[in-house]
Amino acid sequence: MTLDPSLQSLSRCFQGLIPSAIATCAPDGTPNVTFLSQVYYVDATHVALSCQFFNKTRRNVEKNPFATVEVMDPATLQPYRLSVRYTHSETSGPLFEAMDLRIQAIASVTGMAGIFRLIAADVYEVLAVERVDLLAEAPAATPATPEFSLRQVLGVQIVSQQVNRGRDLDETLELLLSTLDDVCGFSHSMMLVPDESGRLVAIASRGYGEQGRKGIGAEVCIGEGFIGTAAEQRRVLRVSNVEGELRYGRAVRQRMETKGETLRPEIALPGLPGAQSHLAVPLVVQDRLVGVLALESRDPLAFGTWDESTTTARARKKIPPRRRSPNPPLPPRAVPSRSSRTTTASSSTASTSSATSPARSSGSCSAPTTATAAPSSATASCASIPHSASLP
Amino acid sequence: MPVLSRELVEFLEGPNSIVVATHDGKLHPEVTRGLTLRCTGDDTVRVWLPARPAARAVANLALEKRIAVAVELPSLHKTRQLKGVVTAVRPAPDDRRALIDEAFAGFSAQCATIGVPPRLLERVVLWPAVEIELRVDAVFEQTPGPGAGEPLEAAKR
Repeated sequence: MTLDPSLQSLSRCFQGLIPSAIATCAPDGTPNVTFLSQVYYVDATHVALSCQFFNKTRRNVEKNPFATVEVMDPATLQPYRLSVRYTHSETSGPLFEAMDLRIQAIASVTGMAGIFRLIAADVYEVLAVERVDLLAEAPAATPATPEFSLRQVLGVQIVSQQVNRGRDLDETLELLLSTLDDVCGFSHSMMLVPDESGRLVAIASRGYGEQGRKGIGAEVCIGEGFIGTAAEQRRVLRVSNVEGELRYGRAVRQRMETKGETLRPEIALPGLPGAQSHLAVPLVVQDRLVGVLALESRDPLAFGTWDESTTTARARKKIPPRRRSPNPPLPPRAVPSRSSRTTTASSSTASTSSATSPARSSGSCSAPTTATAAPSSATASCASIPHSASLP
Repeated sequence: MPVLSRELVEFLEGPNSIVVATHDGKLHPEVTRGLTLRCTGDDTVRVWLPARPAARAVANLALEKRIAVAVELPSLHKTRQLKGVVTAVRPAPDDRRALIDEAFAGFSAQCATIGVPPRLLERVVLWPAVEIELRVDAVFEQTPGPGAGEPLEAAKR
């Protein structure tokens, strides 16, 4: 079956910038309609919806699987109606994990870690796509782009060539971040490595002022926020429309508080003030987290699936495929001083067998300290990049 | 007790995002965007839809009168869903145009607070519009979070 327009051409609609809507119908003919924070692209003929709370939509489609989803292109406001049929729900596997990771990250930032979670990824087959006649002048169709084109492969090649020129870790990281800026336009980036206390510490950065030096030394707790959640889960995390995601999380938080839940304070997001997109790429050597490449942008659509593929390819270039372990260890690791960084970091990436397995957190990360910049009045965090020090 | 409390009316008539669900004879549902609504009695509501994208909803309502309307304040995700039965469907009379334009301007300003540029919303064709009257049977809490989907106590018939 070929859909026209194709789901690939609607990729912007699946970034969650404009809330979507789904209509379902009970067997007795009572319709139901609700807003959706995001519709996930699965493949050329399937989308998935996140189920965080068992609801009427789920109950309806279990009995009458037909539904209509409306998505909207955030760049043009062109709406599209997807005629869909519910096929199944997933509670594990790659799709579930990818959707769950984003929710975990939002839950972490909004003080709902472990409480606000994904119950299931509900998968729908898309039967037809219709362009809705809402606008005075229909915008030009967006051409579908392959997920990994020749241009992107060349981009990876250029980054690889540049990075291979590095003579030591300092130079290699500087070349990596500058090439990602020059080739991909990622102008705000950090490389963080874990220390022995369960924190991630930035050892290289670009775009945060003073030739990137202002970002160096920034700390993030593993398991907290976008970077910390990606590090803990060892999975690439891409978050578009950060403000919208947090607004959604805060709405859920407020409902939970109304129901009597006691929640942790919201944590501050370190890094670029006003950042609307985050991409965190954990670097893993045989189950050992050796670092996180963190990118951010004020453009809510800055990172797409392209960037996940490209940066992941870069991150894995010298790293063997990850092997799953039921209890993957985190290495104890001293954060190198700038003068000793080359030796220390090199040994950490080269050595894959000598790491012991300490507790994930030393405890310092579980006691939030005062935030430097707060998205709400009840904000606290152990993230320690002062916004004043991170302005580009 | 009225189905639509004063507090609920105040919310429903605000600068909200509105979506409307109907279904055809095979129980295949349809979703379309609404422009604004006004509460016209203790349990009656009038909602306006842009006519072109609402054509299928109007066709559905000729067969089946049941309807669902979700109303969300985008900046807070505060959401309520009305369910009821349609009592009239007609082209919106000309004297509604000012009301619709004014309401949509308010919605556009609300959208600007969450980063949607008003210039994009200027391209939405508001007119001609369809006017739908409905009798509300139930109202549901639909703000995301625990309790979403629960009927509002004050709105039970």
